[in-house]
This record gives sequence, structure tokens and C-alpha cells, in this order.
Amino acid sequence: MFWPVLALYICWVAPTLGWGFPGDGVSDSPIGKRIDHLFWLIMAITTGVFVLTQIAMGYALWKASTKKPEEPAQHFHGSHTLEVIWTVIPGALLLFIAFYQMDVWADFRLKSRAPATKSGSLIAEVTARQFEWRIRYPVPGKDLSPTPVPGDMYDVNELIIPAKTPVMIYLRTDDVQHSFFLPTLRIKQDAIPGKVIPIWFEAEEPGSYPLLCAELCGWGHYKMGGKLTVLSQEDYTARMQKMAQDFGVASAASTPAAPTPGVASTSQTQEGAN
Amino acid sequence: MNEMMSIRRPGLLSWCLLMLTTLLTGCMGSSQPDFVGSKRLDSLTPYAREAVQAVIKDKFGSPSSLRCPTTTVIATGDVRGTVALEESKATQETLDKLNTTSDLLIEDPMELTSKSIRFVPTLDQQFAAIEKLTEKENAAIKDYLAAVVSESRPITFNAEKTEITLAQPVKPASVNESEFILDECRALYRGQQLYMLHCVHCHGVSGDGNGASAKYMNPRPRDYRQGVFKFTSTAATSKASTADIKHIIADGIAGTYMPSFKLLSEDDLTSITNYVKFLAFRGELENRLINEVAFEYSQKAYDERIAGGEKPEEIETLFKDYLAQMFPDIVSSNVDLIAADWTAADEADSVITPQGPRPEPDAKSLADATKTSIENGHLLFLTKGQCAACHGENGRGDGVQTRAMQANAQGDMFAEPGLHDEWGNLTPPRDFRTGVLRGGRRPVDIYRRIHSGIKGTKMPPAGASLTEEEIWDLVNYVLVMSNSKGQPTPVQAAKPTTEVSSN
Ligand code: HEC
Ligand code: HEC
Ligand SMILES: [Cu+2]
Repeated sequence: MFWPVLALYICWVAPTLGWGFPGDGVSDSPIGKRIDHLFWLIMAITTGVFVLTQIAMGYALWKASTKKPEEPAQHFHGSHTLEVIWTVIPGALLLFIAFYQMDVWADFRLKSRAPATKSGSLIAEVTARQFEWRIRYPVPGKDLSPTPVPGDMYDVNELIIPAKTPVMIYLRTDDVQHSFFLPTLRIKQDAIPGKVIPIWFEAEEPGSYPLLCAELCGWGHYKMGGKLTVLSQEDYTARMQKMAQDFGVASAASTPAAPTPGVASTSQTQEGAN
Repeated sequence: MNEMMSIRRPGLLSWCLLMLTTLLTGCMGSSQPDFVGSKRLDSLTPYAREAVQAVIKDKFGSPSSLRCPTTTVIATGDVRGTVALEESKATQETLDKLNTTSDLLIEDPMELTSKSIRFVPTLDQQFAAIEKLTEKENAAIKDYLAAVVSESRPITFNAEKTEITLAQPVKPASVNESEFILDECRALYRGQQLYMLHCVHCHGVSGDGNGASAKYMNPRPRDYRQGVFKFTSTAATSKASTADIKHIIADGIAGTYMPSFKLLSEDDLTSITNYVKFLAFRGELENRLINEVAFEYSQKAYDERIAGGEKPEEIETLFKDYLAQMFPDIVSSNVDLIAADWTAADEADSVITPQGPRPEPDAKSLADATKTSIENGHLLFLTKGQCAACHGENGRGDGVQTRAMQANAQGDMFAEPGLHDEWGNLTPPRDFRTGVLRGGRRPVDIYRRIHSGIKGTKMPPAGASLTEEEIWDLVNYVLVMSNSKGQPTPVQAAKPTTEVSSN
């Protein structure tokens, strides 16, 4: 009796001990909340199925073991009705799960469903390398160019995004396979050599969230950590403007039109002092 | 049953043996790490070597017991506490209670007026805040209280407000309202702790760039002991500023094994930077002292003197005199020189800051109005700047100099052709087409690389031979090259390579 009770108790308290979901247990992104919902739903279904099948099995064992030894064994060819039942019910459950989750899956993975494909939401390219995240931003107000261009801004281990807006990033790797993992947002995507993989997500609240590598990528894998800094729209704009100033690049937002080639640009910002 | 026992017994025995071996080897393996001296110490006569080692040991200690340096260049981060008494009158009630519970009899309530002592801990200005007092510091406060206030009185300590509330009021006269040191050298120890955690496996205990994993790396981890750092914001002849070192630790060096430590707190970064400077100072002083004594007391000089007819005892006596009379001054003047260099590098005017703006790459060059900025940059790259001799005509880091044999500072030839740095490692000129810039990607970073060179390497400073406008054009050209992986730049495509063949 001791072990089953302990097992049940541990299952019960695990979430409160932080053994369950990362962070406070509530996802920080809308898609994460929907993923969590799926998790709990599937958890409930599988728990129900588990308990019912255990009861059925226990019943069968009990029934068979209480048979008198002198009673002869019976030979029968199965029960058609029973088989239909235990095929149809799990089949229906699986179909239900398959259809029910499709929407979340599509929103998570199908680019055509991405809310963030409109101009301005592609905000950065994240390049994983042993053992850090190198980040390239476009000039504020411009879209990220697929290949580096002069005027791009660079940072390391800190990805800055605005809050409450769907954003998209491109994920690449310089060397081996890595995995871009935002545990509290429930976002995880492998970075695969030679591929540029778009990821989109939305953070609900400003704050700082862990960014981890979730693919064993070498001896320094354990320390391949970064942070996702989520800023309110104004703070985000200000931060990007400051970075633009640091990089001595004219932000598109502050110049009315794109500078014509050959004409000296008027929007020269002072270089960052350090 | 018997069978089972006979299987078990050897198992138990081997388990014991295993434990014994781990215990023994464990003990043998745990020798204390020590600072290793420069290899050049071996070139000195034994007593000269000992003299230098003794000074270094005395000034810097060993990893297990650091000496708090006395120079202002390295922040020790002593934690000081200022004692302030908060006035609060003792009531007759507390007085009565006090008199019944303790054996000291106090008649006048005025004698007892203070009930709390506030410690205002302060660190070196560099370290913004004290998050929490350590156990050691709390113990220091307790000791202090034990000395000034009666030991038997219970106290509560609020670490956030660093306020100590006494259970009973004390006589104000018994508390010395002054500053005292709670903890010595906190920042240095903290820096060492972090360094041993994050950096030691690459940079080594002594900062000699010879940690356990260093031999697998190219470029090798930096050996700090020359006091030379590559990527700085300061003039060609200056040292790195403290901010430069901190910036490298925070951002790492792209394209090398040096990782970014951005997630460490500001205070931690400051502490590590400080410890790196401590190691650099130690190494540099050692090097300078070796140079000082090597002049007359290296093994080579010694052999020559013997050959010249001097007697070993004479030389040793001379050295003893030198050690007693001149050496202390030599040591302190070298300390001062090194400290002065570090201090100068931190002054605002040693930072290279371009005065004018950078033109856009395809805008008109400010140096030559007939060309666009990258066109002029390209021209300078091939001609006046002589960059192509090292970096190659296409910026691939394959210029002629990479194929020439080079000599080290002592005039000995290196085994393989190519450019070597001050540490004796092969350092190829940067291949700009890989798209990776190690010293930072801001235009001003590249400006500083070109203006001041890369210290300790063959990358020369161009600040004296090129104007600011010309350097900006080169910056633009480098930027454009590093953004077009493998492809020739637009200028090259548009222009026949006339300048190239003239080189
Ligand atoms: C994985 C190995 C590794 C680790 C860990 C590492 N470094 Fe480095 N570090 C390097 C390498 C390699 C270089 C040299 C890069 C070059 O020459 O371009 C370097 C260079 C440096 C430099 C010289 C920068 C310059 O401008 O010359 C400093 C300072 C430095 N590291 C400090 C640190 C500190 C402090 C830590 C720990 C917090 C640390 N490093 C951890 C590998 C490492
Ligand atoms: C004598 C050889 C030599 C010459 C001449 C030379 N360089 Fe270099 N350069 C180097 C070497 C070597 C390095 C790499 C140093 C290192 O990081 O270890 C380098 C690095 C650089 C970098 C650093 C890029 C980064 O990763 O941050 C820039 C920029 C650069 N050179 C530009 C120039 C320009 C512009 C010129 C001409 C004015 C020039 N160099 C001339 C040898 C040279
Ligand atoms: Cu990784």
C-alpha cells in the first residue's frame, strides 16, 4: 500500500514543487497556453483510459482467480461486440485528438497561418553557434534582409522583442545542430545546418525569459543560455533606436525616404562612445 | 544460500577496494593550484629567480590566499560599514525590565538612549551595490557588536536595511560611530571565484592562457601576463581600458572560442574584469622584474661574467647588495609604471573617438569627392593603406605576407611562414569574406581596429598615416566585404582591377 500511495502523492504535489511546467506553470505566450491546454486534455484522456483499463484488467484477474479449480476451462472465439467497442472507442478518441490539435499545430508550424508574416514582424535572425546565440537585427523600421547587409545591427545572447505582438525570427546555425528553446513560452525549434527556419511567437508580458539550447551540441551545451527580453512597444522602439545610434546606422523610421544611392545621406548619427 | 554468499563476498571486497582507490587517488589529485611563473624565470640564476618569485608571491599571494593589492588600479572591493546610532529613548519600562533581567544596574534612563545600530555598508564605487552581506561580513558585525555592546544581548539583523535592532538599548558612548572594514578584498575574491568557475579551463589559473582545454583552440585563449589585450578602444600605444576588457567578457569574441558572459550581473562582470587585471598586473610585473635582473644576473650574463674573471662569490655578494639597496625601489617604480599605464588607459581622452560622421557606403567619400566611399576604401585598401599585403586583394586574408617567413622579437625565425602575434601563435590576417568580425561589428569598432591596430598582433595602427575620412572609407569597404560572403564587392565588379596589378 505504501508505494502506490507515495506514487499518487508525488504525482499530486509534483506541479506545486515545480517539477511540472517551467516557470510558474502558466505559459507566457498565447500559443503556449493552447499547447498547455492540449497537454492537460491529453493527460485527462490518457488518465481516464489508464484507470479504466486497469480496472478492467483487475476485474479479469480477480474473476479468473476466483474460479473454482474443478470448473473446466472454456474455449470461445472472442466477442465481436467487445472487439468493436474497444476498437471504436480508442479510434474515436485518437481521431478526436488528431482533429482537435490540428489547429494549434497549424498555427505553430504552418507559415501560411503565421500571424507574423506581414512586414515589420520579421525582427531578427538568430544564429546558433557553439556555444552562444548571435543575433542580427535590421535597421529599425526596415525588414530583415535574408543575407547580411551593411547597416545590420548585431548582438549576442539577448534577443529583444516587443510585447503583445506576434514576431517572427529566422533561425540558423553556424556549426552543429542546436535547438532554440523558450521554455516559458513553449517554443522549441531545432536549428539545422544549412537551413533557415522561421519561427513565430508572441510574448504577452514585458520581462526577461530564459532562452536555452535544447539539443546536446558539444561540451559547452550546458552553458548555451541566453535571454529573451520582452519590452513594451515604446521601450522596444527606444532600445532599437539606441542600438541604431550605437551602430551609427540611420534608422528608416527617422528618414522620410530611403536614401538614394550616390547622395550623401543626411541622417548621420553620432557614434557610440564605447 | 551458500552459493549466493560465495558470489557476494568478492563483490563486497572489490567494492571496498574501489572505495579505497578512489579515496587515495582523490587525495593525491587534490593538490592546491598555484600561480605558475613565467618560463623566462628559468633563464635567471637561481638566486635572482628566487628574489623575483619572492616579490611576486609577496605582492599577489597564491590562488588559495590572495594578497589584496595596494595599487589603485585593482579594486579590492573592501566592504566598509559605517555605524550610525538611531536615537530612541529607553522607557522606564524597558529600564525596569533590564534591571531585573541583567546584573548591571542602571539608574538614569538618559544613560540608555539607542536601540538600533545601522550599518551602512559601502563598496568600492565600481561595485554598484551590495546585494547581501556574506556570512563572513555578518560575523564581522557580530564581532563588532560583541566588542562594543555586551555579548549577551540578543540582536536581530535586517540584511535588507542593514539595520541591527538591539533587544535592549545601549549606552551611546559605548558605540564608536565610525567607519570600519567589514570584509577585506571582497570584490577580488568574488572575481577569483567567478574566474575559477567560468574562465579557468581556458585561461588557466595564472591567466597564462594554458587551461585544460586550451590546447584544442585556435586562436589560443589569451595569456594575460603580458598585460596586452587585442581589442581595445584606446590609442595604439595605450593599454586596454577597463571598459574594453569588460566589454569583451560580456560580448565574447565572435568566431573564436571566447564566449559571451552577458548573463552575468553587472557586479559580477566588474569583479571578473578586476580579477583579470589582477592576473595581468601580476604577470606583467613578473616580466618586468625578470627584465631588470636579467641584465646582469641571467644565467647567460652570469656565465659571461665568470668567463670575464669574476668569482661566483663576488657575484653573489653583489647581488645581495643589489637586492638590499636597489631592488625595492626598482620593484616599486615598476609597479607605479604599470599602474600609470592602466590609469592612463581609463582616462577619457585615450579613447579613440572619430570626430566626423561616417558616410553611407555608397555615398560620396569625404576624403575624395570624386569617388564613393567604398570605391575610395577599395583603393586605399590596395594602395596607400597597404592592407592587401596582409589581407589579400580580395580581403581573403591571403596576402603575400602570409607566405613570408617571420622572426620573433628575439630575432629567431618561426618554424612556419605567416604572421605571428606577440604570444608566438600564428595569427592569419582576417579573412573578411567569412562575414565574422571578432573585434565587434559596430562601424566604430572597425574604425578603432584600423586606427589603433590590433595590439600584440601584426595588424598595424593606421591612425598616423591615414586621415579620419580615409579610415571611414576603409571601414565601409571592410563592412561591405564582410557582408558579401565570397562574392566580389560591387566596386570590384564594376571596375577593372587596374590598381591591383600595379601593386
Ligand atoms: C572556451 C574557452 C574560453 C573561456 C571559457 C573563456 N575564454 Fe576568454 N578567450 C578565449 C580565447 C580563445 C580568446 C582569444 C581570442 C582571440 O585571440 O581572438 C580569449 C580572449 C579573452 C580576452 C582577451 C580580449 C582581448 O581583447 O584581447 C579576455 C580579457 C578574456 N578572454 C577573458 C575571459 C574571461 C574573464 C573569461 C571567464 C569569464 C573567459 N575569457 C572565458 C577563450 C575562452
Ligand atoms: C602586417 C599585416 C597587416 C596589415 C598591413 C593590415 N592588417 Fe589588418 N589584420 C592583420 C592581422 C594579423 C589581423 C588579425 C589579428 C587578430 O585578431 O589576431 C588583422 C585584423 C584586421 C581587422 C579586424 C577585423 C575583426 O575581426 O575585428 C581589420 C578591420 C583589419 N585588419 C583591417 C585592416 C585594414 C583596413 C588594413 C589597411 C589599412 C589592414 N588591416 C592592414 C594584419 C594586417
Ligand atoms: Cu547548442
